[in-house]
Amino acid sequence: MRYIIFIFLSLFMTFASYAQEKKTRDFSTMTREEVLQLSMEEMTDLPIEDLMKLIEIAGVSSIEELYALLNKGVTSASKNEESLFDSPLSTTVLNHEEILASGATSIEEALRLVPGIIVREKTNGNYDVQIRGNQNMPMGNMLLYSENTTTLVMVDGRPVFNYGMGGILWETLPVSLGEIDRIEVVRGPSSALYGPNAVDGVINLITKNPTEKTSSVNFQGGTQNTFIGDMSMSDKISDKLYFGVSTYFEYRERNTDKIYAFADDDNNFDGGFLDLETYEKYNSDYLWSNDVPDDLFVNGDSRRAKQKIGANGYITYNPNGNLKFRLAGGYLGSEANTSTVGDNPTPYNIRQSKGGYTNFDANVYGINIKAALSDVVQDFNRGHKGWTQATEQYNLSADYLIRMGALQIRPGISYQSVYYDDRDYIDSIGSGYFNDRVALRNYAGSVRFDYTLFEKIRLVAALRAEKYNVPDKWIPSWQFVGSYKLNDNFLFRAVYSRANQSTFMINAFSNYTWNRDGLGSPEFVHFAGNKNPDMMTMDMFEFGFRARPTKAVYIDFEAFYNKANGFSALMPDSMVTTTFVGNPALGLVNPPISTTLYTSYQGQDVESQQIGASLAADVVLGSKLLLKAHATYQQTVLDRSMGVSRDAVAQNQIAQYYTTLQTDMYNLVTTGVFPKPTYSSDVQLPITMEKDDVKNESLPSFWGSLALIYRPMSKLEVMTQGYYYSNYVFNTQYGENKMDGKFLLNAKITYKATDNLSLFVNGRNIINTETQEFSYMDNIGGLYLAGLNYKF
Amino acid sequence: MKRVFILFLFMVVMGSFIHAQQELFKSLFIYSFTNNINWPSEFKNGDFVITVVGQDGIVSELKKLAQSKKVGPQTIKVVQVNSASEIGKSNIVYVSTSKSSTLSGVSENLKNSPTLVISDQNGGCKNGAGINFVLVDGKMKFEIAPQKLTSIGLQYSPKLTGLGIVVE
Repeated sequence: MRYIIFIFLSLFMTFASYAQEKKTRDFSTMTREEVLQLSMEEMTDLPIEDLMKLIEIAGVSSIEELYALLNKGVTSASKNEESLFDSPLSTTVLNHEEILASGATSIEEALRLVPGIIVREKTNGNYDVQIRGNQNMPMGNMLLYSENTTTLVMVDGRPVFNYGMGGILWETLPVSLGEIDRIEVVRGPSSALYGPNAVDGVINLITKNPTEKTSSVNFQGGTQNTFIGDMSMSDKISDKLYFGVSTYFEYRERNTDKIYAFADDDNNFDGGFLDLETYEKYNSDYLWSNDVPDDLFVNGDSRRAKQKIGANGYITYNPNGNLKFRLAGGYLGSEANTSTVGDNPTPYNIRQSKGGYTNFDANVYGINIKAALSDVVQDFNRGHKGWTQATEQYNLSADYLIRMGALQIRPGISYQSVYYDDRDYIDSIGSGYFNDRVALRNYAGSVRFDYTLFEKIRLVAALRAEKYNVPDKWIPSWQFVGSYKLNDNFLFRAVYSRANQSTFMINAFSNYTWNRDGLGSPEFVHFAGNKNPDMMTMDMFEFGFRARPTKAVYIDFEAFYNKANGFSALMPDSMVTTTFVGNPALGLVNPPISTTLYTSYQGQDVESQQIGASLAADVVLGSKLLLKAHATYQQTVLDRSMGVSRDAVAQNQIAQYYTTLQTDMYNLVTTGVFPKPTYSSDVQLPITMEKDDVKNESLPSFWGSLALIYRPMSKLEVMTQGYYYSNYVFNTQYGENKMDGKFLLNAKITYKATDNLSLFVNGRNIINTETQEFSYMDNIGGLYLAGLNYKF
Repeated sequence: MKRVFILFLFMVVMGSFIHAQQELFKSLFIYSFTNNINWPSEFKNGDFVITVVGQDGIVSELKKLAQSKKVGPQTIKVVQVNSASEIGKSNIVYVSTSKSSTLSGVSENLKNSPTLVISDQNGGCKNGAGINFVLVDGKMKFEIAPQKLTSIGLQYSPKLTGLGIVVE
């Protein structure tokens, strides 16, 4: 009996101690291998908090992490969260991990991973970014016309577009790479969703919005005195209230302090890079301009390529499921030495910007509301009077998603007003560009229908009508999409859409007189706006195909054809010359001859047609290797292209003036009739000069990228990227410039020293092919950096 | 070139067959949710039905689990369907990643039923899921929409909102 009691007690004690041990087992001390050896039975009995600890220790296998990169979500294509595979439009998403792994040192450079986007560097950290092209229109014009004015860039849905002259001032975007959660790119006309200027597509930069305590520091520095960094922290005040703050900086130098000067045939100068002293001498001796070079590049700061410093903050308040609020704001100062927006003897131009923004988002019982404003002072062309503007932008929008079974309807309204005011930055009214506070306003109503039939067929129709103050008219845009999901792994889609540009400030309100005193005729050039300008409009047809034949492969193909017209250009209206003053009593008095060229924004007949295709593939090649590749081919042809510069028209007007003057002088001699005191010639080039089937080769016909992410062990990641674009021909008023294609090889090696700390070395263009990527701008060589990412 | 292509194909195929431990973890999570959520009495009779929409490796993991575990007295029954229209009375509906486009339709159809919809896609809770699996810094976590659970009559343990990422 005693033995039985003893055995019983022993068993009880053993069981009790086992139970105690099991109950108090510290899962946080288990290794990953120990966790993976646990049976399903053992884990199913655990409370959820212990299960979560184990799953956290196990983490995600390396291949699952790679698979996750092939299963991304997107919101920009439908204004609603959906799987990237199901997106009805040509869509690409880069998430934070991909951007970080790529080694991209800027948002623009990260876009080299996106199909259909071509990125060419102008100076260290300043880029030309195009979605599918359709720029440099009309050909034979100023450098400004090479800017991408047909892609709408947004930060968290807030347009950050340059409404002054169109385009994107990338250095002024108030966000750093470290703050970006993901970049969503939609290719093709999207005005029906996002309003004007989403012509070639939309780039939506979506920032992180953590709801828990996080902090991070990212820094890298290297050659060409390049230093880039950001810090951020966020915390939770309560379950309903979160906040975050961040700061960032960027400083970069060029690999030379010389600047390019355009060719001057009259003085046998072929064009080329000059040091500032020589530039100043030529500028003065050859009467290139009456600029003061010291004002352009103060203290010889032509070496500096880019600098920006800024700070952001946000607060999120979600009182309950029906109410959500987010208020964000920031301040940024920036400077970029990049291609000019003006008409200077050098394409180099320092742009400066300083100002802040506020962005308020709310969801009130399902209604999405956005209110945003920015208040920024921008000097678009330092050293040239009249180019500094106080800019204000106000955006208001609201939309609501109605779900009716398989049908979703999203009605919406929006309003935007943009103001430019140069009066505080000019000596007197008349010496500025606008000499006024000018405004562009537009408001719109939109509706989007999204209908899914038998879970396979999806039909989307988005319609938008936009009312502008300049021109004073309603303009519609639309998007019709049909997709067919053959099964979970194959999807076909077709799109027909129309989008348009808005008018820009200089097109509408220019009121600027360029005093060319001392530079020869014409002594004055006047730039006038047009209150009834054409709006560049594009129609696009697109066919797309997506395949996910296995979990490890994601293929995305799109073929597109688009037609665009309604281009405008700054062209001469007339040339007015004051010549002789005739007086029968005094004879001829010969005052100083003065010529004024009157120019304005005029509609052009030219029509652009583009055909092209992009193919992208992401492939998981085993548990350690991911391949990401894309390639784009395109051809652009112009009909009714005049392809002549402003100067060609002006010279024609001079010729008309001389012909008339000669006749009048002959009459003076033969009949005694005095010539007129002023002559006005307004002859335009004959329409017969327009040509069809003219190739616009300003964009390479081919470009693409091949990137490999290799994770040989859990602590090491190697990313290499080859990027290539073919030859192109840049056609501006400075002539035809044939540019060679270029191959870039980038690489980044990251070592994860701890869970919190990663150290890396990063090389951009590591084979140092030091050639120009963009016409007339820097020879871009290698950039070598080292840095760290720290989060805690 | 041909060798490179064959090697490429081999690596792709091998990559596809490597075991996915995530499916095991997701099925464990789902079972754990059943211990922390209380269904109305009419859903506590008969089998505890977990319907999986789409072809997904989680089906086999759930079936393994169902062989040894019950939810209270209820036997776990795992049903795999290919479209939302095939979903019958279920305690849980798991919408696989490949069928994520059906999520909003599924949750709309089930808005009056105490059925927990679980998804595995970005923004799943915003599209009607009660719980959504997410990867955060290489770790599997879950988002939870408490308002959604309450609106369909599911009572949940505060543990879930404490451990998950709450999406309002």
